[in-house]
Amino acid sequence: MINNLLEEVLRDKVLSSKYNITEEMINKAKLAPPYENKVIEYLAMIIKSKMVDMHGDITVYNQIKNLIK
Amino acid sequence: MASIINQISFQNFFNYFGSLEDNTYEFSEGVNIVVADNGGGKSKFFNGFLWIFYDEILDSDTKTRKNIKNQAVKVCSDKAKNEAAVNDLIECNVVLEFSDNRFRYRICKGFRIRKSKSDSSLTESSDWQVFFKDLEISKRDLQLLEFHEVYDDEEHKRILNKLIQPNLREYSLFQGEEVDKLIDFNQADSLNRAVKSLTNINKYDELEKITKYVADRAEKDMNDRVASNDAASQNYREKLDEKETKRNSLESEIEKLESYEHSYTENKGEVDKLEGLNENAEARKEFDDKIKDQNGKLKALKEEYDRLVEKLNERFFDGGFGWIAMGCEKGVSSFKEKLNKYREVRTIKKVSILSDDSNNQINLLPPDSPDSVTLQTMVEREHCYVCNREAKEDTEPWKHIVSLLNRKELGQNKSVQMFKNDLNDFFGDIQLGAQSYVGRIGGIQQSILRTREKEQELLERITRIKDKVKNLKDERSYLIIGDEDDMADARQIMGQYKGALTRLQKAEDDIVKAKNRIASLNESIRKDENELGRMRPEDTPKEYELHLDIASDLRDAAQRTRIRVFDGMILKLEKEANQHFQNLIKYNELAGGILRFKKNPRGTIDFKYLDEEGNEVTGASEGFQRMKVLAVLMAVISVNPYGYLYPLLADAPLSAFGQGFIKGFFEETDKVFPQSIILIKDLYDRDSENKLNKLGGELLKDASVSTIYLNQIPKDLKQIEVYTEHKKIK
Amino acid sequence: MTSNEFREVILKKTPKYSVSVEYLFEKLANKQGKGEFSQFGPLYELYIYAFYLGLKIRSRIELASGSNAKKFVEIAGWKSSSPLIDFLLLTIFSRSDEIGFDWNELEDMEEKELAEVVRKVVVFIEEYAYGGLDYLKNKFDSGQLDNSQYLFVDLLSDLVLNKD
Repeated sequence: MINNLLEEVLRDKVLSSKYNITEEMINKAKLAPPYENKVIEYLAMIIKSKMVDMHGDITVYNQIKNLIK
Repeated sequence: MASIINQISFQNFFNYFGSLEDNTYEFSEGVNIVVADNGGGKSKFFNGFLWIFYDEILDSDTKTRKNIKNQAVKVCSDKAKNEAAVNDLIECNVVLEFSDNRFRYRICKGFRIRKSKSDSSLTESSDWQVFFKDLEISKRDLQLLEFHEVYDDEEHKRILNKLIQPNLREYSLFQGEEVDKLIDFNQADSLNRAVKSLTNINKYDELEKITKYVADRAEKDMNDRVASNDAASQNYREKLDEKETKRNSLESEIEKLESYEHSYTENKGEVDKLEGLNENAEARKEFDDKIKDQNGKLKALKEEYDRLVEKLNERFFDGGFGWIAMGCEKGVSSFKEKLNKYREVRTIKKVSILSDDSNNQINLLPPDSPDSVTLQTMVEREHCYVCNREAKEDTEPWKHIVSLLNRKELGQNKSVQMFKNDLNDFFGDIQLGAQSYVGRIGGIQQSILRTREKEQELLERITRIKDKVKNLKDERSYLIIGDEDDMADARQIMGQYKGALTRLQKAEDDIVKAKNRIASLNESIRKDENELGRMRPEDTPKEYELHLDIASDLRDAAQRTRIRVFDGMILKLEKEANQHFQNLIKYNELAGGILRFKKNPRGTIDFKYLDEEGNEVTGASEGFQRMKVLAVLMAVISVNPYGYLYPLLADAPLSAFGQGFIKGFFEETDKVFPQSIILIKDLYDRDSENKLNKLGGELLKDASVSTIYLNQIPKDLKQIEVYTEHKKIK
Repeated sequence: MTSNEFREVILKKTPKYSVSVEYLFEKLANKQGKGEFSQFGPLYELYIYAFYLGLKIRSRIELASGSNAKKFVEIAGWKSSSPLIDFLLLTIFSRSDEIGFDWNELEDMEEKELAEVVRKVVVFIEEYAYGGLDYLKNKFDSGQLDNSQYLFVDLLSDLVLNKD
C-alpha cells in the first residue's frame, strides 16, 4: 500500500521528466536502498520516516536535511 | 483470504422457532440462495445479520431500524412466548460461523426473556423480563476441533471487521429498497467514503502535507542563509516579504475555500431534501386541512356525548323526563282513587252540614247556577237567561235572581267555615303539580331506550370520525420523508427551499472564485520564487538550492498525484460500473444507457445516467434504476485492487425486477463476491412441485449456485403458532 | 289550617338519615364534579332516589334516634320548582293507609293532631329512604355497583321490571 504511494508519485509526468526517472527505475523503487536517484531517495525517505516510522514533522525534516550535503 | 460464512443459526428468533439445531443454514462459497414467499422469514433472516453487525433490527411496522435492546419482546418467537408458562425463561439467539484461511470464528448474540404473568401480552414489554447476554466470540484453528472463547474486546472488533470491513459494510449488507439509498444519485457525497477508503486517499493527503512542510522548511533554511549573508540586497529581502504576504493570503484563501465547500455540501443536502418535501408539501397541507376539519367535528360530538352522559341522572327529576316515577303507576292510580273518594266524602259532609243548619238561609247552589257576573248582568238587564224570560225590576223573578247573587257571595264566605282544614286545593295542587311526571310514566322505558340509542349513535359517529382521522393521518404519513413533520407549511418549505438554493448558488460561485484566486496566488508565488532564485547571491551554497528544488518539486508532484489517483479511481469506477451494468441487464430486451461519474465543484462525485447521445435519461423503469445502483455498488467492490474479500448479504433487492434481471444479477454477483447469500421470494412458486418457478429451476441446475434453501411456513397456522421450516434443496 | 299552610308545614320538615350511610353521599352524590361512579348532583336527589328504591324493595328501616341521625336541608329546598315535590307528596298521600291517616279526617283535625300526622309522614320518608340507602350500602360494600353511567337507571329499572 505504501509502496504504491512511492510509485504513484514517481509516475508524475512533470517530476519524472525533470529528473529522468525511467519506468525501470519506478518498478525497482522501494522504501530502502539502493536508490537509483536522489529524488527517489528523498521521496522514499520522507515516506518511510513519516508514514512507516511515524516520526514527527521536525524529525522527518532533519533526516532529510542530511541527504543533501 | 476471503471470509466465508459457514452457517447461521437462530433460536426463537422471530418466526424461527425452536433450538439452534432446528434453524441452521449451512453455506459455502459462491452463490447461496434462500427462497421464501412473503412472510416466510426473509427479512427476519436478514435481521439476524443486522443484529450481529449493528445490534439493530428493522421494525416491520415503521420500516425503520431500531436498537435491539428495546425490541427484545417483539423479536422473540410468538410461538415460544405463547407456549411458555409463567416464570419460564426463553432463550433467543443468533449464531454465525465464518472462516478465513486459518481460523473458524463463532459469533453469538442473544438474550433471555421471562414471562412475568400468565396472560402476558405477546408484544407488551412490561409483561416480560429481559436479560441480554454479552457478545460471545470464539475461534478454532481450522486444523483443530475445539473452539476457544475470545475475551479481548479489541480482538472482538477485529474479528467482526474481518467478517465485513466496516467502511464497506453497507455495500455488502443491504436490504430491499435500502439499496437505493446507498448510492443516492441525488446525493453528492454518497460514494465519497467508499472511494476514499478504496484509494487510501488519506495517505496521499498526508504525503501532500509532509512534502509541503519539508519544502517550506527548506525554503526557510535557504532564506535564513541568504539573509545572514551581508551581500544580500535590499531588493531580495523585499521580494521575500512580498512572497511571504502572498503566502499568507494563500493560507487564508484556502481556509475560505474550505468554508465555501462546507456551505456547498450543507446547502446541497438541504436543497435535495427540500425538493423532495416541496412536492409533497401541497398534498400534505390538504390532508392537514381535512384532519383539522374532522377533529373539529370530533370535538363537538365528544362534547355532546359528555353532556348526554353526565346529565343522565338529571333525567330522574327533570320535568321533561321524570324517570324517578318509573314503576309508580299503582301509586298514581291509588292517589287518584283516594282523591275521588275524598271529594265524594267531602261533598256528602258538606250536604249534611248545610242541611243541619236550618237557620241558615244559605242553600247549596245547584251545580249549573250562573256565575256572579252573569247574575249581575241579568239583574241589570232585567232578563233571565236561564228561562229566557223577562225579569223586570222588583218582580218575583228579578228578586229571585238578586237573592241568588247575594247567596253566591255569602255562600263563598260561608264555605270556609265548613271544614277546620279545607285541603281540597292541597290535594288538587299536588295532582296538578305532579302532572308532568304522571303523564310521562308510561313512556319512561321508551325514554330510557331512546337515551341509550342516542348514546350509542353518538359513540358510533365518534368512532367513525376517529377512524377517518386515522386513515387520513396514515395516508398523510406516506408523504413524509424522515422526521420532516415539523415543517407545517407549504409556504415555509418553499421559503426554505429558495433560501437554500440561493446559498447553494453563492457557495458554488464562491468556490470558483476562491479557486481562481488560489491558482493565481500560486502562480504569482511561483514567479516570485523563480525571481528570488535569480536574485540569490552567488556564494550561496548549492546544496540549499538543490534541497529547495527537490523539496518543492516533490511537494508539487504529491499534489498532482493525489488528484490523479482520485480522478483515476473515478474513471475506473465508471468503467467497472458500466461493465457490471451491461452484464446485469444483458438478459433484458431493452438496452440500457451509460453511467457517468463526474467531479463536482466540491470535489465529490456526481452520477449521471446518459443515453448514447449523452443526454440524461429520466424515467427509466424501476428495474433499470435498481440495476444502476447495483452496478455502481458492484463497481465499488470489484475495483478493489486486492480483490473483494467479504461476502454479500442481501435481502430481496430484486422485487421490482423481471426474471431477466434476476438471472443477470446472480451471474454477475458470482463474479464480484467470493460468497453471496441472497434472500429472495421471486423464485417461489406455490403450485410447482419443488416450489420453484422456471428461473428457480434453472438456477437449481446452474453450477455457480452452490446452495439453495427453501423456507416454508406450515399452512393454516394462527399467528401465535407460526414457525418457519427450511429445507436444503441443493 | 289552609291548604297552603298545611303544605308549608310539611315542606318545612328536615328529614334525617343515619350517619352510617353518610359516606354514600360522598361517593354517589357530588355537587362538584365527577366521581368514580355515576353521580347525582345535589344530595337530596340521592335521598329521594333511595326513598323510591326503598319503596320498590319494600324496605323501611327504623332510624336510631339521637346523634346517629343527621338532618337534611328542608324539603322545601328540594328543587322546589319542579314536579318533584308534588310527585313526592303524591306518592306519600297515596300511601296514607300505611302511614295511618284518612284524608277526610285530616280536615277535622286540630293542629296538634295534624302535626302528629306530619311527623308520621316524615318518619315514613326517612325509613324508606334508609331502606333504600341500606340497599345501596350493601351493594357498594360488596362491590356490586358497576361504574357505568347507567348505574342508577339500571338499578331502579331492574326492580321495576322484576316486580312483574
